[in-house]
Formats: sequence, C-alpha cells, structure tokens
Amino acid sequence: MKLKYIVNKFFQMMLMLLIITFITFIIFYVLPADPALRMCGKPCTPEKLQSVKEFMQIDKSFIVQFLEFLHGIFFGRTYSSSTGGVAIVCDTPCLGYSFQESKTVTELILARIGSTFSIAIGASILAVIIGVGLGILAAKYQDKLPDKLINSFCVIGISSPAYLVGLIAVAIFGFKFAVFPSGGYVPLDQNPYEWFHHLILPWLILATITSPSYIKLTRSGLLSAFSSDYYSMARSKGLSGRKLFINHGLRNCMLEVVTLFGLNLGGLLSGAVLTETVFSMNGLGKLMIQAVGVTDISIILGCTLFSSFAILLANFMTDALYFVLDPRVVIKRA
Amino acid sequence: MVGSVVIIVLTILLAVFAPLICSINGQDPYTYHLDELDKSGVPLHNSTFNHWFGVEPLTGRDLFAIVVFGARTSLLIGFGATVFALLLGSLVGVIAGFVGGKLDTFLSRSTDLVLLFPELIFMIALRSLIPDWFPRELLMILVIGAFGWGAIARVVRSQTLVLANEGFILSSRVLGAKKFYTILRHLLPNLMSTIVIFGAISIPGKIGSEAALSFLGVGISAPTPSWGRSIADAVQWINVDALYLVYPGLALFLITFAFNMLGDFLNKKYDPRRL
Repeated sequence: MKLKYIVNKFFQMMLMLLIITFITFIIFYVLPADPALRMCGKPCTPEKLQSVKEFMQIDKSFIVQFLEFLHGIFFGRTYSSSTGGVAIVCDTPCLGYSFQESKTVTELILARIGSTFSIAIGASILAVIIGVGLGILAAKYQDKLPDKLINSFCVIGISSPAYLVGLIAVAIFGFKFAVFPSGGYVPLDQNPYEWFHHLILPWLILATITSPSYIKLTRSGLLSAFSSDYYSMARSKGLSGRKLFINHGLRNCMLEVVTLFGLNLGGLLSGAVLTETVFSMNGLGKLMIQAVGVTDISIILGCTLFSSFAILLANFMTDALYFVLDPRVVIKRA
Repeated sequence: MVGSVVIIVLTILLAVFAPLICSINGQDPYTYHLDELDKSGVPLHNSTFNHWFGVEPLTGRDLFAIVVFGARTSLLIGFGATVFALLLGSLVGVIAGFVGGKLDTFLSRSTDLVLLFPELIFMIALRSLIPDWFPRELLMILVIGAFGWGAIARVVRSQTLVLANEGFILSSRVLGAKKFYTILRHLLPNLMSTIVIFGAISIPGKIGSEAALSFLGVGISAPTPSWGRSIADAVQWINVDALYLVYPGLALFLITFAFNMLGDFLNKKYDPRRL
C-alpha cells in the first residue's frame, strides 16, 4: 500500500516532467523562426552555424530531435560535427550544449547550483521555524495583543515583495552599518564561516517574507485542535503540558505545514532569480537572466527544465512525507 | 478595510488622471533634466518645488511622474491579467464541472499542470522568443494571465459540481434547455460572486508578477514607467541614496497591501473556497 502510493506519485511526477520537457522543447526548438541561428550567438560564422545545425540535427524531424534530447538526459550523448570540429561528449544528464559558452548546459548549471540551493533550502527551513513558532504564539494568545501583532505582521509580510525588502535590508545592513556582506556567495567547502555569513541576510529576509503562510496554517490548525473533542478527551484523561500540546495539538496542522514546505521550497528555487539579483549572487537564476540577455536558448531551456525538475522533486518528496505524518492520506489520495 | 478601499480608489484615480496630475507642476515621466544632476549623474536635490520626489539618477526624469504613471502600468497589467486569468479559469472550470467525464479528467490534469508550472522561470524564458515589436503590456497581460488561471479553474469546477445537482439546474435540463443555455442563464449568475471575489484576491499577485518581471529586466521595457523597473534602476544607487528605491517601492507595497486587506476581508466574509 505504502510502496504503491509512493510509486504512483513517482510516475505522476515523471509524466509531468515529460510533458513539461515536451512543451518547453516545442517552445524553444520549434516555434522560433530560426532556432539554429538563435543558438549560434554572436558573432555567428557560417562554419559555426553549420556545426550548430549538425549538433541540433536540424535536418531530422522534430520528433527525432526530441527523442535525441530525451535520450541525452538519461544516457548522455555525443555531439559530432562533420566539418572537422571536435566531437563534444555531453554526459548524463545532458541538457544541451551552449555554443556561446562552449560548455555543456549541465556543467554550467552545476557550477552555479550551490548558491541557489543554499539559499532555498536554508530559507525554507528557517521559514518553518519562524512561521510555526509565531503561529503557536498567536494561537496561545488568541485575540490578545501578541496575536494581533503577529496578524499585522502577516498582512505586511504577504504584501512586501521579497526583493524590495531584501534591497532595503542590503541598504541598511550591508552598506549603512556594514554588519553583513552586501552580496556575493562563498562556497561551503571553501570557507564555512563566510558561507554562513553571506547567507544569513538572504535567509532571514526570505524566511520572514514566506513565514506568514505557516503562521496562518499553524494558528488555525491549533485553534481547531484546541476546540476538538479529542483534545478535550486527552485533557480530561489527565494529559497535560508539552505532550498534550505536541501530540494532540501540533500534529493536527503538520500535514498542511509539510505541504506548504514543498510548495515553498519549489517557489524559492524558481524565485531564486529575484534573490540572486538582489544579493548579487551568481546562481542559477543569474545564469538564466544572462542567457535571456544574449538569447542563449540552450541555457534557457536547460535551466527551465532543471528548475521544473527541482520543483517537482520537492513536491514529490512532500507527497512521500505525507505518509509518515498521516497514513490516512494513502487511502484518501491514492 | 476602509483604508484599503481609499488607497485602491486613490491609486485608480492616480492612474486614470496621471497626465492631468503631472501637469500641475508641468512634468512628465519621459523628459530628461540633465541640469538637475551633477557630473557623475547624481541628482543635486532630493526634492524641489518642480520635482516633488526629486529626479532619477543618470537621466534626471521626474520621479513623481514616474511613480504616478507607474500606477497606470501596474494597474493595467494587474487588472488585465486578472481578467484574462478569470476568463480562462472560469471557462475551464465550468466545462470541466458541467460536462464531466473524460473531458473533466483532461481539464483537471491540465489545471494541475498549470498550478505546478514554474511560472516565473517560463515567463523569463519566453521573453527571449517574443519579437520586440510585440506590445509589452499586452504580452505581460497574456503571459501572466495564461499562467495564473489554475486556482480559479479549481474553485469554479468544484462549485459547478455542487450547483449542477441543484434543483434549478436539473429542472432547466429536464425542461429541455440546451447545456449552453443552462450554463449561461442559470449557472454563471450563481458563480459570478465567487469569480469576482476570487478576482479581487488574485489582483495583488498579478501586480506583483509584473513588478517582479520588470525588476528582472524582462518585463515592461524603458521608457514606459514601471515600479518594478524603477526599483531595479535604483539598485545601483543604493549605497548613494536609498530614496530612489523608497518611492516606487512604497507605491508597490501600498497597492499590494490594500488589495490584500480587501481580499482578506472579502475572503472572511464570503469564502469562495468553503464549498
């Protein structure tokens, strides 16, 4: 039952990914008037254009091109050119080759992935801590001052674009007081302290901005638990304090919190473009924006697919986690 | 609640009468005032009699006019994209809920797909494919709307499913009315309040999308004023003076805030998702 549910979800994810790949592929390889010319970049010499066309196998049908691309994702592929150019080996998962950067898209993505993942994972974890914490506080002091303050914070938080708050924070803490670096990223394996130091500000800002949804969920979940029969029952049987609160109160809203975590992580991954611009980090989002600037279709396509995959994976893991928290979902949702 | 309505109405008036309001001190958002800048492009004054909010660094364009005209862009795209999304979503939702069967399955799966789509990434990606002559405003409305109909489709579908089994709909069908007539005459009027409320709730998100895309430089292009782009332009001056950031930023925050308050209020009063 458990395995069937997870396998089922996994196939749903793969199907979704296939559809997204197909749609993206059509958008970028088929719709443009001259995709090869767009791939080629500037300056585009006739020889270069020729090898681009051969790499893309532009003379073959669209379906063949798509299948070759899919094959490349799972098994890697080798781009070869008849005009004497060197063959390029693109390892699994091959997401294409950028003629402008003369690198495979996978290489380019892997080189930038650290900052994007560090921001997204750190911020989404911190958001849960802040959100659930404040949500508990709001529920405990329902309709009293703390609850009202937290509620105003929620409305303001939801209305503030993260990049705007981020910029103001950079202006204040980065430049004015210079407590934190105003931007940039240091890889974890290079200098853990600097890694942390550069990420605190982005984490805090993003977590604060995304925490209101958790606050609302936790608050309403706890309040409905407090007024439920099973809560009164547990209480009248003599259970009290932390155990009552955690097992019978908090657990009631954990399923929704986990759902939100999956969505939030996905949102932060695709929203990385904004964060990276604000905190001058050279991540995946920046790579994509730069690629749009010079119309490097291979990179844009690769980044789109990669981000979609990351988001779908986050959702899949959430679905799998459901089972641990509430086995009933398997019966309801499978 | 009253406050948010006041802000919304004021912003709409500001947007509609933008040329008139700016003509009070004879400004527009396009003219360069290089005499207001020093040699490195930094404005000489923060606020003057002629330029209420001061001028933009480098170009010297009037910041007040930029913020006022920015409201036009923001609301046009916010409303336009919302209406487009509501049309698409209602259409999909009604058909899925009313016709049912395989079509419902297909439409529901498509809705799931749209909800899961990394829309920001796609909106950015699309920018590189659309030719420059295509009007940016229309493009933004179409793109933001086309990715934003998932939630409304779900709500409308579930409500249609409930309504389709109500007596008055069944009677209409039994009396021999065509499906199309029943939908138009009996179903839609009952869905209208849900659709309108949902529209109000989703406006701030659409406004935010426009601002975010313009902030990234893949939205509204210069010289059409846009708050998002003004914020982006202010970034390189952030260690000189953060004020350039404050005006467009505050405007964006206020309108989003007002719509969110309104949406919150409407949502509490008549929650369309309660069904």
